[in-house]
Amino acid sequence: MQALNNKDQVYYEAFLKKDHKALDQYYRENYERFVASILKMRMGDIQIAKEIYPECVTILYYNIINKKLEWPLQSRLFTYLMGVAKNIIKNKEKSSYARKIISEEDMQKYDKAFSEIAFYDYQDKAKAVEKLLDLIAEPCKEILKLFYIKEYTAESVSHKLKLNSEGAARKKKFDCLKKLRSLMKENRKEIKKYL
Amino acid sequence: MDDALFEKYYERELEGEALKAFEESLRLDENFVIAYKEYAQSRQALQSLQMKATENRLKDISLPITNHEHQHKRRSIIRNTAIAASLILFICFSYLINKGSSLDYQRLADNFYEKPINPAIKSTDAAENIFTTAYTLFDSKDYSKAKEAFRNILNRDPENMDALEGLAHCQYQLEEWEEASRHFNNLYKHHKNIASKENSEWMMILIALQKKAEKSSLMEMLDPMLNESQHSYHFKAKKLIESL
Repeated sequence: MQALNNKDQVYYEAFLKKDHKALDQYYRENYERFVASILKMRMGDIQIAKEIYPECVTILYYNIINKKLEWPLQSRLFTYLMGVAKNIIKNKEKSSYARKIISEEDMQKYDKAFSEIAFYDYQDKAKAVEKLLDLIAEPCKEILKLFYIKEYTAESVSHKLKLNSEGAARKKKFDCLKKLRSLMKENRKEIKKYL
Repeated sequence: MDDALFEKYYERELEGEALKAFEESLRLDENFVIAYKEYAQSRQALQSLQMKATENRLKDISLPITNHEHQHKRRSIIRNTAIAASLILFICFSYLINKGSSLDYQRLADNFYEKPINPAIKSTDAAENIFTTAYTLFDSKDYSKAKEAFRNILNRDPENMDALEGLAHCQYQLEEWEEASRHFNNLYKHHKNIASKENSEWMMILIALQKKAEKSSLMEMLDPMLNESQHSYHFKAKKLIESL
């Protein structure tokens, strides 16, 4: 048990540092257990489990990065992951499965975990933002993607886009972010529901 | 308004006096709040794309086929084999009828369907239906029938941990403490699922409470939960100790 918690802590700290290798490892390690739990809890079938797994792990990862989930945890990381899954399935309204009574305690546990989840439904929002980014001309679009999605350093961005200096890259970054903000203002009606 | 400053605050990089000053501005300056809110919204918008990119990257990682998928494939094979076997038997019955055999075909057919074709039938969809029935019975609080349903599954598949868990919970509801306790103990020792293990541990404590066990032995059982803050029943164990 202690070993498991230590492992949770190792992953937690690695995720905080945005360690992609740790994320990949966690993803591989917990896949079978996740699918088994979805089936066991009768939350969905294999297809649903496989479909939502990447989304669940992504939310877990970003909730740690954004410190919505802070150490010491009130549950295991996996319990939290199942809480996310429960929420996603509920949102998708795909679950016609009855609750398995012997897992009532588990369900309460997941409910508890769910109450701690600052759920971030990024799927629709991402689509809306993609449309907005299409309205931004190059190189701004690329700069925003490199800085904020791929998390390049200013040095790498200036090198990749052949800018004069890191400072120039940073300045352009803020200019482009301003453009995005003004676009968001202009399109407030369309994207309001996602913000 | 300074985006660089907003970024530092958003990234939680501001410290000390700078952080205090920033938060003071957030409290007192309405325009500052609006500007920061807009900045944060744009960052959140971009983060949604980043999350989508992460999700796509994870999807690209090849994952092993799970045991469940193997089971699913195996079930299909078994189901098809069972259908083929049924057809062959049907043809045989038809042949015997035409031959004027004295067999009681209805009885034979009944027996045929009552008994599993072979032990492998445990993993067909029929077994899943029995599971669903068992859980439905449990849901409707018909614990005796649910117990029998879980027992039927165990007769076919003695190592089915889910059925054993169901049986133990039925026995708990039926106040068959000894049997329930024995099964939860087995589940605690052999179940691979940690949530089930912890649940069994907790159920054994509940049974001990029902059996009016001595405080010292209860304390002994609760000890691992109390020492382990990540245990699913840690808080419940704490509350229980307080009430003892």
